[in-house]
Amino acid sequence: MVCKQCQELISEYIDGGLELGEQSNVERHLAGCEPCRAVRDDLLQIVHFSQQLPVQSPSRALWPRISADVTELQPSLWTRTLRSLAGFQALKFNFSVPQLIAGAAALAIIISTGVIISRRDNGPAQLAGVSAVTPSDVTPLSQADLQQLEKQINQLSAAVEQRKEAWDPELRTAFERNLLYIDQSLVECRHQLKDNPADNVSQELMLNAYREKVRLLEGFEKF
Amino acid sequence: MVYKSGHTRHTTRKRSIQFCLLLFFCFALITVSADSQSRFERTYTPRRAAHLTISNVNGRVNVVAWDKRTIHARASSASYVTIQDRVIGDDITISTKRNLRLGRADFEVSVPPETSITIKNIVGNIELRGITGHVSVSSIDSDVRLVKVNSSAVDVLVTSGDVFFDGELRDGGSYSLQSMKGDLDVTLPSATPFNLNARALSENINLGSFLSSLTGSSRGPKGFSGTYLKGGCRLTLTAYAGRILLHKK
Amino acid sequence: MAIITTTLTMPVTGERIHHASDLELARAAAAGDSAAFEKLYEQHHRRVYSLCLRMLGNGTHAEDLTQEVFLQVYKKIGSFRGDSAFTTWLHRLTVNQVLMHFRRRGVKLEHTSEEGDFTNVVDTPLQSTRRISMVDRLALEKAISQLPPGYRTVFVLHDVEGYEHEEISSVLDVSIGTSKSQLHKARMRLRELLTKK
Repeated sequence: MVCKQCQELISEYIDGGLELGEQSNVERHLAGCEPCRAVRDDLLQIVHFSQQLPVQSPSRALWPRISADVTELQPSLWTRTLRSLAGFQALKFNFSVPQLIAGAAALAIIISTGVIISRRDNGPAQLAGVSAVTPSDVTPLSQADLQQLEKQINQLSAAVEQRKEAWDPELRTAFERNLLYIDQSLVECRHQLKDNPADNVSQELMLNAYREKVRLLEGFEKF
Repeated sequence: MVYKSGHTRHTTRKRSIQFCLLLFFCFALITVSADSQSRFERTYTPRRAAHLTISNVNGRVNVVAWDKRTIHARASSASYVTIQDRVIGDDITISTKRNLRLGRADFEVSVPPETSITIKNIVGNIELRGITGHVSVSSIDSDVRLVKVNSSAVDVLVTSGDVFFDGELRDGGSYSLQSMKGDLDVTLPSATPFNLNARALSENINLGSFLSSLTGSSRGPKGFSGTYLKGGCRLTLTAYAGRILLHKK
Repeated sequence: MAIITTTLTMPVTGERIHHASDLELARAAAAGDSAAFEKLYEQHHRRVYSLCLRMLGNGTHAEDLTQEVFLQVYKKIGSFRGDSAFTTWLHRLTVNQVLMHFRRRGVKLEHTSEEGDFTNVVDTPLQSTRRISMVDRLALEKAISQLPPGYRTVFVLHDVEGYEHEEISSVLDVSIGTSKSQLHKARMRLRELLTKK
């Protein structure tokens, strides 16, 4: 083993990630090579001290800025009153009030976008100097369509669950892996819509992901 | 104690050897038939530009354009995999029958370039080369490569896998690539005009040297729409957990 | 999934705050208890800031990003179920915010420049026996801040924060091999920076 090879493996050697054969080769080389031992010792020091770096503190002015941001996000007294009157706290949902408001706003945006787009001409959008991204020519879904899609997904999922036990393990793994990818994307879309209900790109991607889930389930339902 | 005669011992030994050979032969037969491959091979002669559909479950699908007027399809598959074909006029469908086992069938197909291709797969990489007819690919878990494709319509939809496109776009054409988990990597000649609509949930969109020349563009972290040169065809790229990468040839 | 309404609706006040677990504080904060949220900040903001500071290499940006992180914490605290430790959840959220910050600024972690970054650094020959002296913490922090973003990210996540390569590859969407390679290059660059005269 030459020094170049040894030094390329030094990090993995330090981290205990080498196979026994390679580890032996490195150790044999280190036993007879002071420059490579110098590299090893230096990297050990770097790793050791990096693990002990202390936490740093931001300025005292940071908390008041965060507190001010958070205050702006808090629901108004009127909203809190409305919630208590409607008995929202008694509902067994796992949403906070900001999330409920964001969800309702997202649905309203989807419906109103559907109305607006259906009245617009088709054609490529060329907007100069506009920061918001215009939706592509995707057929928007109404709330009823969204519910229909979810119902279809539930039915297909139930049908697939019944058949899944008889599948080849490789087939089952392929299905579950790809279902997970789609569900992860849906979760990410929902998070982004909670942060910004007016995010029309996330809306479009979420609807697309739902359609993709239907495609996956329909594809595997036939097995 | 009874001793067998020499002749009896010889006969017994001979029968033992025969029995062992028979057992070995049966064992070999079982082993060979379990691992045996089937071959599917067909040649079609369409009168006009054909539409070929390959509906597979597990395995590679490679389609290459050639300079003959016939379509030649062959597949090697596990013996328990059934491959059927159906021809109606110039519509040719080759499909692998689904069963509970994920039996593998690998396809190698040669077609006239103007053939329209539809490929459906569950698992297995797909490659198309030199095709000028319409292209539609729908798969669950596949890397898809489209090389030297010069079609007026391309639609690729995968749940997981990278999509690689290196070809030409035609004026008025429609091109859509989507992957839920994987990169979309597109290489185009620098003189190709197009209208772009790129969406990436990962916010990872890299338009390379096309970026500075995109006009009328609207952009956000997850989305980019704009016109390159005079526009004309529509290029729609949709990625989720993956990147969108555009390169000039 | 049903929530424990009694816990959510009862504010965590006074003495209870001092001894409340992260999960209790998170639930209270999700219900709108601002004192609970402030307590969470007090307990965790240094760790968040340190991570941001080391990943970004700049104090002002690190404070801005810490502010964004806690805003995200406030918005998403309702989704914290206690499946993992709060610190793990917070840490992952912080790393995601840093990566989004890089992406917004067009910082390409995977295309780390190999040339021209360290024109003033003595390139330690392979055969040199020179070693770095006892590592000075300040010198180490400064050297980390001078690493290219890709190297710095992997180094901070692995050596400072203790992430495994599998986790790093998942978070950064790179292969495990790339993560290991970047880590090694980061360490070697730090060695060069720390041996500079």
